[in-house]
Amino acid sequence: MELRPLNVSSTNKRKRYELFIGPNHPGISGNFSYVLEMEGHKVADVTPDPGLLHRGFEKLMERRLWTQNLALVPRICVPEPDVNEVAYCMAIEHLAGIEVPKHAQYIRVMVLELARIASFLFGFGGVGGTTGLYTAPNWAIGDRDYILDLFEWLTGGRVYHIYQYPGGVKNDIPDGWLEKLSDLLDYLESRLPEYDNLIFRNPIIRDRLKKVGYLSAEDAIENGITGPNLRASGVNWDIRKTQPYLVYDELDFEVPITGNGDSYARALQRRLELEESIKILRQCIDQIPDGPYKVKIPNPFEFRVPAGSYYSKVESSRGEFGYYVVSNGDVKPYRVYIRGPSYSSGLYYAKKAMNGMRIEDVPVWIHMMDICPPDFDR
Amino acid sequence: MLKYVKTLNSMGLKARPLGDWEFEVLTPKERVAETLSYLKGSGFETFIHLMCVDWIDDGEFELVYNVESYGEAIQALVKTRIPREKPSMMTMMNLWGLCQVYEREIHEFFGIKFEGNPNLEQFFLENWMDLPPLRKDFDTKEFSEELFGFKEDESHGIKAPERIEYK
Amino acid sequence: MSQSQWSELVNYFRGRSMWMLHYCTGCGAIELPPVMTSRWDMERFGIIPMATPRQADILLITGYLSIKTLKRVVYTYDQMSTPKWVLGFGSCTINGGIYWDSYNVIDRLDKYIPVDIYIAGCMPRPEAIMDSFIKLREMVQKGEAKGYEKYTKNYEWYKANQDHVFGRSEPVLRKAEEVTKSA
Repeated sequence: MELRPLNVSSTNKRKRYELFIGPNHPGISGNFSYVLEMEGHKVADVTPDPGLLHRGFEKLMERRLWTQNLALVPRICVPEPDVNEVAYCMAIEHLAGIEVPKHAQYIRVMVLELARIASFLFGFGGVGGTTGLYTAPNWAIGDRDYILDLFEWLTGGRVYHIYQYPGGVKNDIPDGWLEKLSDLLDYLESRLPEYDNLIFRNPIIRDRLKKVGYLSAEDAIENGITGPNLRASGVNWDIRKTQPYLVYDELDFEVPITGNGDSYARALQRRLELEESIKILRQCIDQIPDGPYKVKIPNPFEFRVPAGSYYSKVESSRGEFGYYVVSNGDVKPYRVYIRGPSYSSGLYYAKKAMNGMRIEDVPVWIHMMDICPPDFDR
Repeated sequence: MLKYVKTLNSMGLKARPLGDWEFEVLTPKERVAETLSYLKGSGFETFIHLMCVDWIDDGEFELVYNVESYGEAIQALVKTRIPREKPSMMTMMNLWGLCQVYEREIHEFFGIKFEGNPNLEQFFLENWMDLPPLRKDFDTKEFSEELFGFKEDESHGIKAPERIEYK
Repeated sequence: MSQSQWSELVNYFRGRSMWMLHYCTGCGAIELPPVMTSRWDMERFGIIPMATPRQADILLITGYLSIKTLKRVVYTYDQMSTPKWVLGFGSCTINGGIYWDSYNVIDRLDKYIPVDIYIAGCMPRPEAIMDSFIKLREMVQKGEAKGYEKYTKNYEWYKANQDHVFGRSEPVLRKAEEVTKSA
């Protein structure tokens, strides 16, 4: 008897099989599952199975006061919770006609940009984790912790800050915080060349990520992909530039466009945007005006938002994070809808993108698209 | 933005600006497809979201389609109302394939049937038999107490485990 | 070597090499990377993340559990080989926390699987996680962490509680006729 050749399967009957990736799988970015229909080592069909993190936020928010919900919203996107608070507060302020003082707007921009950097650093860890380069998570998550320490000093919370409030922020910047932030930015900038050498100039990572999950500009627009993933496909669209909110129109920054549309471009896009965020933060430190950090809203237990509806959105590190808030003039919101940026890519576009993809590229695709399950599970 | 508002008003729809970069269009149910395809043809190529509001006092569901134009940096919210009794709507999948998942979600959370959508199975929930949870007449607190409640004496006729005392 | 000396020795080594199942069940999973990586570095205590349940000793429930996740957690817990320990992380595992009235989040984890240590807070700091690991090590070395024995002894009770959630065959609230009408 002879050994059969390697490329011939012993049974030709069962060519297709089902493979579960997630929820308990190191290659997935959270508690979420894809059921892959495999043909050999290639993906033939994908069924997303969300809902493992579904908490019914939209229902719970209808049961709580406008300001009570501020404790609830950050929990929708765990790696970058501040976008939720800001988008929700911006919707309330628009409906109630509250004008936020400049000082508070600058603080908000700083919090948002710090959170964006933290989220990008977390993403660098993901690049390393999915490609087997475990130095990257050790460095990136270690550096991210410096940012969390600053957050703790400013807001009292490491992960969830619950810092925004309709009309401003909850308390002013403590003494010495800005200097410390400036030091941190110097440190992060000095680290960037090392990250470049470790991850982005690393030939293994480059070969591994290039040409994985190509996404053209037309497909990105058609499929509702937003944020860095859209810009990595070559579409010049950043809400901070095109529909500026807060004080982004007073700040001077560029929006880098990598434009190749593959996983490497998406990783590089985040690396380049991190540099711009540092630039924005430096300008904020210089430009922040003095003034009140909030306008006082009346008794929060009696705080009523005038009837109406508004869609407010914030550019998060994953894309457009939107809050559609409906009020009927009561002390509680009538309905809040949360548009998470991963919804379209994770639940719909994944089906097209993963078709014909090799199994080892699936975690790479998931992490480079930065699919964050809590924001679509809600 | 004002030119779209004007054109839509001349089409017999009610449109008005909501903010600096968004406007709403109120359409009857039958004209949603027409409105959305007009908007898609004039540059509103990205579908942002589809959501639903339960106006229980009016006996209506409100569906909100949110589309965005990257060229002009404006967003359009197309709103329509459908009756709450036996709610149904036509699918917009032929305009944006993305609508499939949003419609599936709304079918699950509000019980609206989307005609022409091939897959409206359960999505986020498992083994759900109660009222669709985001409807206003569904009481989440009562449900939670009933299913997960703290009933110390709940023993199912079996002796409950004793507490292990740690020193 | 007597039986008690033998089990003392075994417990000592068990406490020195605990592998934690790498299952991010809830939002608490965000504090695990700092604990695993350079800043807190739980590998100092012989704890490393493990991808498969059969090789894992610790099941860390990081926060709230939706019904769908609870099902997977129970499967996972049943797959793990004894001795195994469960850590309830965050207030959600204790009484539902901020999601106490949610229709999809369980309130008390202890009803479905036995919990050895709870870590209070939302979210608990990495120091609290490290502290609980050290506490668990002490308990294991003393032979006190016996949640898995409690589970086997009272399996019927736990199973009945689990079936109460998973095995629903009719609506929980008495509005069945309305449900059929609207469907």
